[in-house]
Amino acid sequence: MSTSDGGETIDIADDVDHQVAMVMDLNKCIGCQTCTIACKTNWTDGGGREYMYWNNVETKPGAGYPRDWEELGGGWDEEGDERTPGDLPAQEDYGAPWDFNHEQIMYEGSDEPLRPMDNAADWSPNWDEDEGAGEYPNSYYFYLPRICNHCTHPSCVEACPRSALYKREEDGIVLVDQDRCRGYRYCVEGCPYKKVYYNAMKKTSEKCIFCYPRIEGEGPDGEVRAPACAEDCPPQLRLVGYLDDEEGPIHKLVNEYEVAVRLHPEYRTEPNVYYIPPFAPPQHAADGETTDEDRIPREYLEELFGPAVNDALETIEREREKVNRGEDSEVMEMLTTTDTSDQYRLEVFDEA
Amino acid sequence: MARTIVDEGRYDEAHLKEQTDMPLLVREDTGKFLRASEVPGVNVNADRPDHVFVMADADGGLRAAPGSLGARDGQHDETASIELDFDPQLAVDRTVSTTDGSVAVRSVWNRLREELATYTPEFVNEETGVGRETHQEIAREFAEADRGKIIHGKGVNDWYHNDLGNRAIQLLVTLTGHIGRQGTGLDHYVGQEKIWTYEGWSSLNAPVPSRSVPTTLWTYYHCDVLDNADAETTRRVREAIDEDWMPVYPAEREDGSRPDPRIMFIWRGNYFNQAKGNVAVEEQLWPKLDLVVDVNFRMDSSALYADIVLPSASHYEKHDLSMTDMHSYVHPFTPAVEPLGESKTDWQIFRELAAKIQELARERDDVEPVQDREFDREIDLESIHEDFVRDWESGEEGRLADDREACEYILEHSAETNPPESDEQITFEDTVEQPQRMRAVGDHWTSDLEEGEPYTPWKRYVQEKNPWPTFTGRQQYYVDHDWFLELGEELPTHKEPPTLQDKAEYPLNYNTPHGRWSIHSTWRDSEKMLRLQRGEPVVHLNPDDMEERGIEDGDTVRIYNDLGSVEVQAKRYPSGEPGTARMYFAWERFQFPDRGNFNSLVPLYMKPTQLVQYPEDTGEHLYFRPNYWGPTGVNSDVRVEVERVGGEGE
Ligand code: SF4
Ligand code: SF4
Repeated sequence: MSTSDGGETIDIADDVDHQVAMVMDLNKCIGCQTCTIACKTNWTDGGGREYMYWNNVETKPGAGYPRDWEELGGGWDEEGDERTPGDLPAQEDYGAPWDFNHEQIMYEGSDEPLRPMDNAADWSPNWDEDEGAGEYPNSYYFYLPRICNHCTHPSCVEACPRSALYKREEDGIVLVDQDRCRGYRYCVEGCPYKKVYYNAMKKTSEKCIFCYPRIEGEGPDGEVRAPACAEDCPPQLRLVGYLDDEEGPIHKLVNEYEVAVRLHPEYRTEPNVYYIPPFAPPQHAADGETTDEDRIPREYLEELFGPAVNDALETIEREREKVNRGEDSEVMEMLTTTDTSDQYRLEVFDEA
Repeated sequence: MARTIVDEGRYDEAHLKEQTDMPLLVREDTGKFLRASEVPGVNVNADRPDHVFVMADADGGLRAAPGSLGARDGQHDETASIELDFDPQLAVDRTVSTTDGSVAVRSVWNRLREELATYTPEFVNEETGVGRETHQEIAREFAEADRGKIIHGKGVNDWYHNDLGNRAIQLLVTLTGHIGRQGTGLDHYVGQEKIWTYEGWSSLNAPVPSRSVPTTLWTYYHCDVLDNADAETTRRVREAIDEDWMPVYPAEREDGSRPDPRIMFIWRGNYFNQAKGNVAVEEQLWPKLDLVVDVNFRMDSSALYADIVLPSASHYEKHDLSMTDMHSYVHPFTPAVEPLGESKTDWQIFRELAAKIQELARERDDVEPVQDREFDREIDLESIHEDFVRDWESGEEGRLADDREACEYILEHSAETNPPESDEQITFEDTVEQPQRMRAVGDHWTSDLEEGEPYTPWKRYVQEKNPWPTFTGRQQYYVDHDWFLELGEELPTHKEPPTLQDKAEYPLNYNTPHGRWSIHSTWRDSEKMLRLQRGEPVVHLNPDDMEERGIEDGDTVRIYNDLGSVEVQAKRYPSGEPGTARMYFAWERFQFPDRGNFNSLVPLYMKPTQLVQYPEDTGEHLYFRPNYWGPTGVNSDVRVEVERVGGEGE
């Protein structure tokens, strides 16, 4: 825990020097899955990881990935000191990583249509894409990109009897020590976000590593890079840095303005990925007029982001109006900057 | 929205008077613009007074409209001006004594007001479902904004009456004067095809005159649609071809016959998959072709249906330049990896084909140069490769052997990257260093570049008062082309879509918009992407329509109309408007059972107004130019029915 000059408390885990963090602005996500593909290409393209999406993007409301993960338990009780039991997702709820018959069609003269070579193609990580809820013309949905939250109070770490999972001291990234892991999968059960995955080929668990080689400067030219999901995002909706970087936009958005909120704070793992909650156009009346009625029910957003979402939405609304009046708004500036040195602040704690 | 802006007086009157055709007078008897040559006493200093238009000044005196085509030198004439030294009336309804006697005239403005009067809030609500108040509120906000801008994509162009739609949208920025200043205008984004360095590109691409053709018309023609289309459309298409308004190749021979196309090269496209009227392409066009060669970095449907596939390098395996109408920078492509396998860059493929032809021609030693049928040039097969790699401007032999040199050539020969009056030049190396903003603007730009400001078009007309490149020299909403008058489209107007399929039999609208899972058909069959969808083509249906037909999410359904039938998976989509079957486009043929295609349900259909040249005789205002003026394919306005496959009784 550290305290900033402004008096706000910045909560980070006791045994880490700094804490990586991300803010994702849901108002910009177009569901293109570029982040998903960037992550997959870098980390999970083979070797038993085919079914894993360390970064996935799901339509909300919707079942998500793995299917109905929000109903599988995990995390902590109300006091935050007893773990809540969690379940292992069934393999079919992740969806199978289909192989296709390209080869047969392109080079062997098959007349069959291109199809997953798996007869049970009835679920996939994004099966209910764009469905959402409500009725035309007042239906609604939005996209929710998800990675491991590199939590301050990670129940996955606590769940492992071999202490194979740990928070890196230097930046709080949560990793699985592949030598210690015996593949018990307690961490998979224990994570309420279902962001640890079991590799049946290697018989160990694996997860998002916040692209640590990139942030450590191991790119081809030795440069520091933000995680691939952030850098490859076409609308550049992710801010990446350290929660305890008091000059950075993440601290300001999270702690000062409180417009970036946690997904399912009631799981009490204290995620370090924060979201700018989504706005939608208001509802239409039967006669085609625009009403004052929220399109995305507020209760639904509270269900996802907890009661803090209300203040966050109101603050953003106020800040937007400021901009409309021609006034300055630090919040809107941080959320619309195209300056990558503001978006990605990963070298602030480097020794000079 | 235009009606609200006009009725409530929220329009920019000064802008309309100076910059638009609103004050121009139109004859009531013919519907044509009144010409200065028809009105004795109008003082006109022009070579072609029959191409000069007329306005009424504040005292009712008739005046020649400055900047008319007849008073300027061609389409672009920077020495002319549309600046007014009198105050024209917008609302005119009177008679004028002409060489034909007394003729009733009205201004375009009065005609427009009459047209707009149709669009009452009730009418708009009825037609669009948008609330009576809501659309007017948006109109007011747009009109009152300090700077207003409309950005729209290509969706409008999918509809038969897309020209009317675009003219109507554009009308809003004109009425409000949101045009020709930073932060205003109309951005109609349709893709990455804006070649800012046009000069260098065309000098490289076609150092001698060359041919382009509107693909839609070409396909229509060679699919023999003219034998089956309605009489009216057929007559107009034939007339447009006969009048040379739109080119079709192969060119007509002296005896009036026109041979069939024999060889097709497909390059940077998936024509066989993406052409509208897919059934006709396969059944009528393909049998005419002796040889289909596909230059491609993917095995797509065109590759599967080609005789020869030449594997080419993808974007990240070659040197190339990239530009777009979204900004004024030039970006490079550089190879991150070498071309895979046997693939070569496109430049190398065409170069080596030329080399082979030259080699064979020289071996034969009896190949006479071919005289071009249309242009004054010879094609000498014995030197065709040398001609290919020669720098045509400097005469340097062999210079253009490599892709990168070809890029360099483009940069060197364009005013944007190598301004004539300065020694500042953008080289390919510079673009690799970082994307470079154009250094200057060429003739085809409509504003200057300003340091630190994004490029905004049309300032030359609005601020410097050069004539617009139209017939009247103004933003022109009234088009007095005979066809437009015959079809009642002289002004932007609302028209019902054509009836392509019977509504009772085919109750659902069928749309095939661009999706976000692919760039057109590229990556449509990518394994990685398909794993994040359903692995096969889907149609998005509204739950009410599904229930009515006993269809559940995940069912296999048949979509059909009088043209064809395809089998796909049904996807529940509550955000779809009831009565709409939406299939995001570009699925490959090999993704459908029996090699169906999303375009098999779409007819080859084209709107004749998009085939015209205007003025009819000289075409300075509208003339065929790829990506600028020509017919679009029509893929909306199509109707279908959907049914469950394997339902009861099957
Ligand atoms: S999201 Fe799950 S896996 Fe990631 S740190 Fe938190 S509890 Fe652990
Ligand atoms: S790349 Fe960005 S916009 Fe696309 S799905 Fe991911 S987070 Fe959303």
